[in-house]
This record gives sequence, structure tokens and C-alpha cells, in this order.
Amino acid sequence: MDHDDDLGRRFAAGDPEAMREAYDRHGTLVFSLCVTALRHREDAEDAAQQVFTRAWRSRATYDPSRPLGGWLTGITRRVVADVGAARTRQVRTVEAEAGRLPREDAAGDPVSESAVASLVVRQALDRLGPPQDEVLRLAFLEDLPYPHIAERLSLPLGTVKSHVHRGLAALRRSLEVSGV
Amino acid sequence: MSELSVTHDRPGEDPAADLAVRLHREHAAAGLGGPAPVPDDVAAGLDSRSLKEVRGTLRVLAALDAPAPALLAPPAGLWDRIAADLDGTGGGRCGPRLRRRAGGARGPRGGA
Repeated sequence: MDHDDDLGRRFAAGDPEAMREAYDRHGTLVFSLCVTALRHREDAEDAAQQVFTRAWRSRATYDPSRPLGGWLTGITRRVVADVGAARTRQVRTVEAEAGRLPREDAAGDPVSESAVASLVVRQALDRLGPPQDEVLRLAFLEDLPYPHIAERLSLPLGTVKSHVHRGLAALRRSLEVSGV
Repeated sequence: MSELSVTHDRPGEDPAADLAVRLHREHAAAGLGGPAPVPDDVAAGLDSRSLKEVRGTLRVLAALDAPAPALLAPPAGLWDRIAADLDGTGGGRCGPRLRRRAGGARGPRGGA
């Protein structure tokens, strides 16, 4: 979810290379959100396909001064809602024909802000690389005090703190540039 | 109270990050979810840039604490389907070039 190049501008201008780059850069987030929300892999694949084709066809409406990832996330929300509504209609029809009450969970879950933020941050954490990612995991996923982390990783305490601060700053930027 | 501003002069020093971590840990220890709020009196002591950093870091820490949905790379054939879709139904000049680039066998390059 980087916003440090002109990908958004090239995408808006209709550069086919930018379409591929947008997919490479944001495909995992879009697909993961679709799977999480729809809880069905094939439906998620269809939804992710719709997100990118819809994005490309409506690229004229994209403002390249805004993060491309955030715009794609917005499209993902709408596509997931559309797929969920279609599934609900389908289930209602089938259940009505069978004379049963419709299931309430066919629509899946809406794509929540917290799910998007969590995925963006986890993805950014994976990209940090060692030892920064490990320091952050130990500090905030395992809740180890900094001196323990320093001892475990054989690093000076000041270095551990530096990794924490720089790592947190990188994760913060990932949220900012993704427009979450 | 003088305004706190972020300093990065010495390794291991970042008062805004340290403040955010402290607020987050207090918030989590109280059993509360989501980003911790910045108390008014604390916010009043921060310059606008530092306050923005503290709030952003609190969102990061809340996101790390939240149950994480699985991060899944798209299946290898998805790009080909997208390219074919744009080829066949009005993808404009993007379609044919995308299809050539996809080459029928090329999957995503390591995901997003």
C-alpha cells in the first residue's frame, strides 16, 4: 500500500503497466478482504476479479492525489456488499421454493475498518524484514518487555527501542498511505 | 506544560512513540479494544505533528492487537481471468496488452 511513486497517476491515465502493478501491490489485500467477508473462496475470487475490472473501467473517477489502495478498498467494500446481496437473494429464492425460512448469514460480513487496518498493518509488518519485524512481534504480539527482547535477540537495548520506533513509524505510514 | 515534539536525535528516543505505547498498554490492560484515546490534557501538551503521530501509532497498536484476518495471496489464475475479462468486455486499450503480459501462465508476483 505504498504511495511513494506515481502508480496512482499512471493508473488514472490508463497505463496498462500500472494496472498490473496495482494488482501486484494490492491483490493480496483485496483478495484477503473478500475471503474474510464472504467466507467462500470461489465467491472471493469472483469478487476480487470484479474489484479490479471495476476499478480499471472506472479509473476516470479515481483521484490520483488519493491513495490507490484506499480507493481499491472502497471498491472492495461495494463489491462484497453486492455479492452478499446477490447471495441473499439467491438463498431466499431457494429457501422459499423449498418452503423454508431463509438463512440470515448468506450475505457474509461487511468489510470493517478494523479488518482493513489489521490486514494493512500485518502486511506491512511482514515487509519490514528482520530484525525489525521480529522486534515488533515480540514487543506487541508477545508483549515482551524491551530488555527481554534485547536479551533474546542479543541486541543493545537502545537498538531494540530504535527498531520499535522506526517499525511503528513504518506501520503508521502504511495505514496513512492506504487511506485506511 | 510545554509542547512535546518528536526528537530522533538519539537512538532509542521517540517520545511520541513511547507515549503511544504507554497509552495503548493502559487501554489494553483495562480490557478495552480499539485505538486508545489521547486524554485531553495529554493532547494539549503535544504539538500537532506529534499528536498526529501518537494517534496514528495508537491505530497501529490496536490493529496489531485485533484478531487478524488471514492474509491470502490471490490464486495464480486470477490475473489471467481479470485480463481476459477486460479483453472481452470493453477493457479498452488495456485489455489486449494485459492479456499479452499475463501470457496465460503468469500469476501474481508475490501478491500485493
